[in-house]
Amino acid sequence: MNERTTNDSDLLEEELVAYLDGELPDADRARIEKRLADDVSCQRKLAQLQKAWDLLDMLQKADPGAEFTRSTVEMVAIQQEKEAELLHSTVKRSQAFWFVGGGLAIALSLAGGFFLARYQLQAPERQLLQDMPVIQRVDQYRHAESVEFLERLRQEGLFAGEGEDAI
Amino acid sequence: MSPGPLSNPSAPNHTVTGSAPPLSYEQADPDVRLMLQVRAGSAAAFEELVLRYQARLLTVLEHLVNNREQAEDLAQEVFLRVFRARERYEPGAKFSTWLFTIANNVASNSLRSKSRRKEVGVPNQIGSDSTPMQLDQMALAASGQLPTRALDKAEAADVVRQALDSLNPRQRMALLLSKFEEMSYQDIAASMEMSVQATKSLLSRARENLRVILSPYFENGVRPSELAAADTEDLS
Repeated sequence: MNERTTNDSDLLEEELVAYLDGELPDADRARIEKRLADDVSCQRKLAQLQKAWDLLDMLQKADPGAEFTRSTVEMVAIQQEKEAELLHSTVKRSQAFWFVGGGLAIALSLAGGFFLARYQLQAPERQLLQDMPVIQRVDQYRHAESVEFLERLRQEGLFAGEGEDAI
Repeated sequence: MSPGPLSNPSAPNHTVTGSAPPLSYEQADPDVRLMLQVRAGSAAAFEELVLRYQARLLTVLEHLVNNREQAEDLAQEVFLRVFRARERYEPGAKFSTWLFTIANNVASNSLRSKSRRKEVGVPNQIGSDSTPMQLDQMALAASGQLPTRALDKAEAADVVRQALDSLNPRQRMALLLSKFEEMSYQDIAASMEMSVQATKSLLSRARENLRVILSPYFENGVRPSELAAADTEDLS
């Protein structure tokens, strides 16, 4: 019961304040005006709310003056300089990064190219070295009938101890 | 807060009717146009915005934190944030709504950290007119040299400030935006990042608290401090 009374009272206060602030929809405003016409305590409360509101006009309004404006604008100008410095240093850092990174990439590319070229140039010699055991025995291999015959001999263990390269 | 666009909390005032296209914030609000110039790099536009808003911002902040120097620091912080956010600025609300959203965040952070530090209350620095009545003023009044009207005004201002200080910071902020900025509930809701219904309730509680504190003063001349003292005596 008490809770409902409190809620009703809160709602009435909300509506009275909204009525004074011109924030009530037309239908609610008409309802409040009707109630105000009949209810003296409601009228009194409305008058007190209005009076308390009007008293806020006694509060002093600030007058910052030129000094406040000047220091605010100066403070912002300093901020702008800081931002410009930060941007400048970021750009410089970025340039340095790309310069060092780019140089490193070029150096790595050159080194990679050098080693690749050297590897390619040494390819015939490597093949010759790999084929050396066969080249050394090529006269003996000529007497064999075929590769299959040599393979059979290898399987029978004829070349045991001579290693794979001997074939 | 994010200084970016607000989610269209308050449409610009449409002065045209019929099928005319709605006005954009850029068209409706000259301060939005100034802010767009700031975004484009105009220092003069920023200075103009500072000139237009410094007194309004300072008034709200001063009564919110009840300290002139702190209010000035906070106002400068707000302007600095506006400047820092310039490149990301998109007009999604009236400029004042956007500015006071930043102000609310800055002030809330400050009040939170202040309450964490549990600082001892600093005497009010607002100004000679609004500081609590001094002994020499009372002596002057008693001797009849200070016009009663001036004394009444100083005393009333003091009482009103005490009443305002007794509200919690959110109630105070909503009330100040409503009183000094004449903001609609929708704009206050956007500035304080809450729903319109919550704003309505917040303002209602603030105004009711103010009524309860101030009505004994304007009806019977009883100051809030005297009421509090009487309450304490009743309790003891």
